[in-house]
Amino acid sequence: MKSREKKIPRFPFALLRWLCKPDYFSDIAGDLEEFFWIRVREKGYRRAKRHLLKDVILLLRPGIIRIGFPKNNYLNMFKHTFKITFRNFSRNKSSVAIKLISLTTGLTSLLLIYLWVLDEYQVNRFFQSSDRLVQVLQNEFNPNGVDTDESTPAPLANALMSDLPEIERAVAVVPYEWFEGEKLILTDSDSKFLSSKNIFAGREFFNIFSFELIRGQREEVLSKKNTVVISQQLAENLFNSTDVVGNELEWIHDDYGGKYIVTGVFRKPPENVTMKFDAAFSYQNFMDSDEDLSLWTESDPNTYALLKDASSLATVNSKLTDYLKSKNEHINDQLFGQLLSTRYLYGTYADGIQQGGRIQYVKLFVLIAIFILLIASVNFMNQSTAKASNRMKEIGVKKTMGASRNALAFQYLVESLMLTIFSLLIAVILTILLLPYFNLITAKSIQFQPDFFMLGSLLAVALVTGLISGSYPALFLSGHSPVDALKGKRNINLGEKGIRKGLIVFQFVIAIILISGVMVVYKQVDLIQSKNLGYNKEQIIAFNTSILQSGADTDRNISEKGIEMLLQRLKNTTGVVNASNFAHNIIGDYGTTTDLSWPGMEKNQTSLFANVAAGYDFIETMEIKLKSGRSFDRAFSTDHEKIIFNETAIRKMGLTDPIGKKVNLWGQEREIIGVVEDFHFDKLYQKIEPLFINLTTGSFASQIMVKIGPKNQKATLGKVEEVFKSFFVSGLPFEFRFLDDHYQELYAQEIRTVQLLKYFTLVAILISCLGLYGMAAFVAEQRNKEIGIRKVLGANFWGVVKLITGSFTGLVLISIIIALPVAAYLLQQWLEGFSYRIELSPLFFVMTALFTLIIAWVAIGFETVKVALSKPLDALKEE
Amino acid sequence: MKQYQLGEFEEIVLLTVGILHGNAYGVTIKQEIETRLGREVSVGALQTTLRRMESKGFLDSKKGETSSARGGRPKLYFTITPYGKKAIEFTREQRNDLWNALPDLVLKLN
Repeated sequence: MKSREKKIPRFPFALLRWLCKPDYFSDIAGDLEEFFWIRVREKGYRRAKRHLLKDVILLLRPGIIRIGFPKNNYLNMFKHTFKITFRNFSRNKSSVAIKLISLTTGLTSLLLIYLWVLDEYQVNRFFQSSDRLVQVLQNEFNPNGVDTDESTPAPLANALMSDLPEIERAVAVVPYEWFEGEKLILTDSDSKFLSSKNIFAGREFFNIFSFELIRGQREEVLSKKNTVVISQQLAENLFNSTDVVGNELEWIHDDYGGKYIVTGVFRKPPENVTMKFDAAFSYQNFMDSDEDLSLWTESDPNTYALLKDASSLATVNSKLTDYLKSKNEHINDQLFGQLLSTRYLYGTYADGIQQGGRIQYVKLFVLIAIFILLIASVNFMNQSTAKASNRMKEIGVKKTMGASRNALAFQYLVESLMLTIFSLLIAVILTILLLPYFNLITAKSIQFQPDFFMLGSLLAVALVTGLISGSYPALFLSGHSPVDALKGKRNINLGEKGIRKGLIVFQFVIAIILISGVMVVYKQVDLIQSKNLGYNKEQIIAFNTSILQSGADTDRNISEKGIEMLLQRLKNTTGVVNASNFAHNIIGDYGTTTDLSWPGMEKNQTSLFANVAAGYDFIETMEIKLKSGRSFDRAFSTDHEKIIFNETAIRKMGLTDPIGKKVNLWGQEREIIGVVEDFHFDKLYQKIEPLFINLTTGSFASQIMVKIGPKNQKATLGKVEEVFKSFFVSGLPFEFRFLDDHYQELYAQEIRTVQLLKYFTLVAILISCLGLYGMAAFVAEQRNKEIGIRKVLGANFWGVVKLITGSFTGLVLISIIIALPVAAYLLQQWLEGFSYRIELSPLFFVMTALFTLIIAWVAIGFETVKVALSKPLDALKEE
Repeated sequence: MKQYQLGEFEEIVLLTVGILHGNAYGVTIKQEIETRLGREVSVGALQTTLRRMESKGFLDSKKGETSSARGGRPKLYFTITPYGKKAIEFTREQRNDLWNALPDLVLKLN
């Protein structure tokens, strides 16, 4: 009854064949087909079709379908592949070891750098709406160029909220760095004293920054004057409890001192939030402390704004440009917003234009990671392709036995994939083990928290490396005819050798660039550290004065008289060479002013001068050299009306014979009594700027610096601490810092970068040499017979050494010729960023070249010497 | 006597294979059950039961002839093994015992 147009559907049978136990298929299918035609007759074609599908689906039950894979030859082939893989590994131990070590170190470096970059990227992204959280920055146009500053006018935040509809909320924050060099001491009414990091923050602070509040409501905590929100840690230290809302604490400070009521407690944010503080005080107290703060011409707090819509930043910026002018037409400064989350990586401005920042380090290390992985992959590929040609016989035998080309290709791919996956596993373990040390070097607290993206991309990297390096033997060698393969006819075209050589050259080019990079960077950082700064930073300690011991009713802050007494006591301490007081921070932070005029000054000429506020003996303690005139001296009672300049300032003012001339500073006449030689009070990136030293003996310059003698430093420090303790209330620790350390901190970034660079370069060199060693071993093996014959014919040891070393030396030389100009160019670019820099002498490059050649020879040397010393008989007896 | 225990559908299939005596394969068994008992039987349920009873040893199978209506696939004929006979007799005895034990009164009352 089969009709031509009515055919039995195929799909249900295909489905059944696929899922049903093979033994059952034929008769069940027969039954089904019989039923089908019966139904076609009785119920029609369409219903029969539907019924057939239903029958098949109902057949898919445990008794009928097959479970697991069929036991057939595929599985055996698969097992065989693994067996052969392991045999191959154990036969080529050194080659496998080279591949494993290279790829493992490469992947480990990649993983570590990835974690580091991820950590850098996460900084300040902790806040809930960080995609629309903007910091408002201010471009100040001063005579030396454009300064981009975080300080903004104090009324700005509130004005922005009411003026710009795009802004949802805005807040002013006085960061703790603003108080740097000042003592910040909190007390719970005199029984406990604690130093803390204090900030002022507006009422919207906790609405904008999603710090976790353990106590208190976000909307309310900072809405009133005299309120403070403290950290959980501070609450526990001060009150032994976190349930402290309503408690009072006192801030001892000249301007902002007084009692504050605790309205909230917050949990410490993670490390990757750059805004650090222990206590946030009501911004109202800050505003009320000085009437001038309501002026638009003053810039003090930082301003943050939360946009309604993340995409409106450009609109906001166009409105901000002339915003200050609309408030006060005399202001030329311009405002603009930058996402807070990008401030950390893109934080450097030069002349008002964003110019990199930490992102440059991030880019550098990403580049290094890629380089190292490339070098490692080159080893992997070279070893795979080189060794593969040794397996021609294996391929021949397998082909004769009937192995298909696919099966052979599969074999090679499995081999290289197994290696890559294995090295990936070791790399992950290594990374976890190395992470604590890595954190030590980078000064971070990175944790290994694998995510899908990371594991996925790592796996992808490993698989791609494995596939590429396995694909050459898999696709090319498997195509040989079995007879050729068995005869050992290597159809090695010139291309293959050329590629291997090219890869070695490529590898060494990268290694050489890294080596010369490390040398130059190291020299440069060394220069910065040992550069004659114009003062002696060694053995100077600095500390803040504290709360005076006597009398709670009288002024607890140290006065001019107190400072003088303290200095005298310190000077009389054995081991102390000299002591002085100063304000601000001698390296990095200092005041600046343009309010200075001098005889012969042109009209409308303004110059920016740095103001170093310091007491007597400052120049002597720092060992700054006097060019002419004299230093401040206690013997003269009128030295407060005098002034000392540095050479650059004198040059800027165009004064000849400056001693005795009078300048006008802040509306007061000052007589120049001395000129000091230029000294570096700022990062060496910047040129020395004009500067004056302004004698300040009052409590404004309440930091103390003490120069201690070279002998018995520990004992001297102990005595200084005793003096400190006898002056100030107990309970507050004696916290001092070495000026030297402080200086080191300024360059911490560079130092860390150099450290990391050193380690990763070492890794790169190691991997490159490993590759070279492997290739030398391969060549020696290949030319074993040739060398044997040569020896029989009378070649001596050096002849053989020359034979093998020669070709590799050529490759390394080519690498050197390619790499050095590139390295020179890149390093010159990098050095441009420093105002005091080393000269790139040819010596660096000669040394790099020599160094590279030597390590290359060492790498080749082992194998070469082995072959050169071997007996020719051993090489020739086998055939 | 646990090993003789048959399920209800198993019992029916086993009996039907017996009834068809020599002509019992998938199609005929299904049709026989459907016509005699008036109930729908799915190929899946039938096949699972047949295979299960075969693996238990109640049934035996052998390949038979092909036909074009079956797409050239052989029929698989089932026969009852002696062990299968024992099982079906055991089931019958069990039923009889139960019937005998049933008091007449119960049936009348309901």
